[in-house]
Amino acid sequence: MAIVCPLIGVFLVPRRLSLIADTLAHVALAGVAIGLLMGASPIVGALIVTVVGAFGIERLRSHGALQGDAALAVFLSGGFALAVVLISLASGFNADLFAILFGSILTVSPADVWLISALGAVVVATILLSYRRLFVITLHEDLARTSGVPVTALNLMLTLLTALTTVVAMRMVGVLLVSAMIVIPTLTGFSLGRNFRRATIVAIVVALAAVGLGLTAAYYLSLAAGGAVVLTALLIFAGVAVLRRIPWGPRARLAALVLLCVSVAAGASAQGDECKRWREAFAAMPVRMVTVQAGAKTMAIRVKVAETSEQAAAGFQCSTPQEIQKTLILFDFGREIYSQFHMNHVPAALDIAFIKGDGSIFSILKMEPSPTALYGPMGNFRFALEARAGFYESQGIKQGEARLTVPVPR
Amino acid sequence: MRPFVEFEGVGVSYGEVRVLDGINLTVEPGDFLGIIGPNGSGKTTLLRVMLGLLEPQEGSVRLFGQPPAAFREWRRLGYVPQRAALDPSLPVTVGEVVATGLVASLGIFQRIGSRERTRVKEALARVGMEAHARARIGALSTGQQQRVLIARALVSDPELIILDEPTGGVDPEAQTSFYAMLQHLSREREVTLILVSHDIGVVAKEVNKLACLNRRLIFHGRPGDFLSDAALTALYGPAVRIISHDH
Repeated sequence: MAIVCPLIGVFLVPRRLSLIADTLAHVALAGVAIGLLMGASPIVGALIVTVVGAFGIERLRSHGALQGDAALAVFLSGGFALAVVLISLASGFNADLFAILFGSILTVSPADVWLISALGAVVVATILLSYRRLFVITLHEDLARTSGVPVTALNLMLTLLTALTTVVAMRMVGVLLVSAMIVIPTLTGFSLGRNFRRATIVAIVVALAAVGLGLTAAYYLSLAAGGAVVLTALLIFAGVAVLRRIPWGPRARLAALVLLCVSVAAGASAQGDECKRWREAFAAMPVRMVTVQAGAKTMAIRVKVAETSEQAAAGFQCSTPQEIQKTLILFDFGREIYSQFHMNHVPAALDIAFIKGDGSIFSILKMEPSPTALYGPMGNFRFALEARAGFYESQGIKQGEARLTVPVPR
Repeated sequence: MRPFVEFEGVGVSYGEVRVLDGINLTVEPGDFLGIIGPNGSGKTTLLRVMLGLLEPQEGSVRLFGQPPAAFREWRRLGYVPQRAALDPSLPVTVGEVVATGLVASLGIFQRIGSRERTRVKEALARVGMEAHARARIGALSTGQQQRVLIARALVSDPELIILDEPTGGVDPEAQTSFYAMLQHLSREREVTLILVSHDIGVVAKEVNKLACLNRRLIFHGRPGDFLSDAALTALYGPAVRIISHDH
């Protein structure tokens, strides 16, 4: 994504077409909604709808019906409105949708990873092959036409590639921030690059740095990945803008840019003990035996107990999928409270059972990894028991029919 | 040899407004043609029709004997747009701009090699800009940007160069050396030139053929005949007189 976005950006930004990316991203959201409604992969849904949208936008543009940004804004809000209506037809907002709105690298399925990589490769290869022709169009459309460049066809191609890029970047930074990744590194590249080729390379480097540093920061600071990546890109852009005002030589400037990147990285890793803290809390959780009675069956289960608030905050954060496979965590809040669980930094899906003070299991939910989604039951609870996804079903434990007994500690 | 450009009864309207009417025009190899006319006379439209950027509603246009839509030998033609055409904020160098003139002659998989770089250098040398190859276009003066655009047109070694208001915003001294350069191209290198301008006085002195446009072609012939002709009044109104400053 870090390579694809600026490659598109350098050809969109100078022609004041940045809004097209944002528009296509919102159209993509409608595609995601259709994908979710039909139970298909949201990425495939987004891909199909965005490509159709790209054809529509390009058609309007080449017929001169799409004057300025107003018509793009119509497409943008239209796509968004359609998405919202479609989602309300389904089950309402869920974790998957939040991941797509705000981005989440953790919830991408392996099949989607392949699809995204393939799309990215297609975009990069096409751009590299038509780089020179796209450059002439960017410079001057009439010059391109009188040099025998098929401008109309290449404009359509660029819009289609923008559609693919939008879909690629969507899972990472989310629909709402896709255009930021196309525009911000490009602007940074343009202000630093001596010529167009170098500007393109700088834009890619900035995007790579923003993704690397942003994701690192997001991981250690428990931030939403997409927002962190875009903010890092903005930080680099702002830093470059400030540095440019200082009349240094090019070497000093380069050194300052490197320093800027390093200091952002250092700032991110200084917070690295966050994860260490959760791991220590996880390790310190005492192991107990509890019993669960489901129908006629009673089973004894070994659990780790999160007793302190530190341990409760830690949960499975920064753990491994293997640990999740073989461990259960019992949260005991001492009295019935209302709370919600997040799944940030949790590497695999979980089942969670919410339990009243009297031990009755009244709600079981499945929780997917996500930096933003929150899960809570309808009602207060004293205990919560986290297990690997599918655990309760495999043990025949159903909500409303099972009871937990915790031996009085100490 | 066929004429490079042929217009036959070409007419263009934008909605109700008639912009070009019954234009007949031929440009022979070796011509240095000036197309002049006041603002709003249809010069830009005529140019766009000639370049195949605009299809006329009436009449027929031939570029090197072919309709512009079917024309493929773009390397034979160099187009120099108005100077304000390039966005000065773009990080684009003089060398990169000139190299785009080669796009018609390079295949998709061909890279810019040493031969192409030499041609870019030669084209820049011909307009006296070889020292600025690595400068950003935004850092150049108006006249220098104009020279870069001409170098871009020259790099593919065209037989015909079409220039749109090339001296707009260029100071008089730079104008003089600019026209000397065009004369050199026309006489020594036998490049056919078409120059579109609103500046009658200067253009009429330089070209060897003149076309005066005000929706219709009012005069099409040798410039000497025109300057003494009453057609000038029809073109610019009675207030305009040509002040000739032959030394």
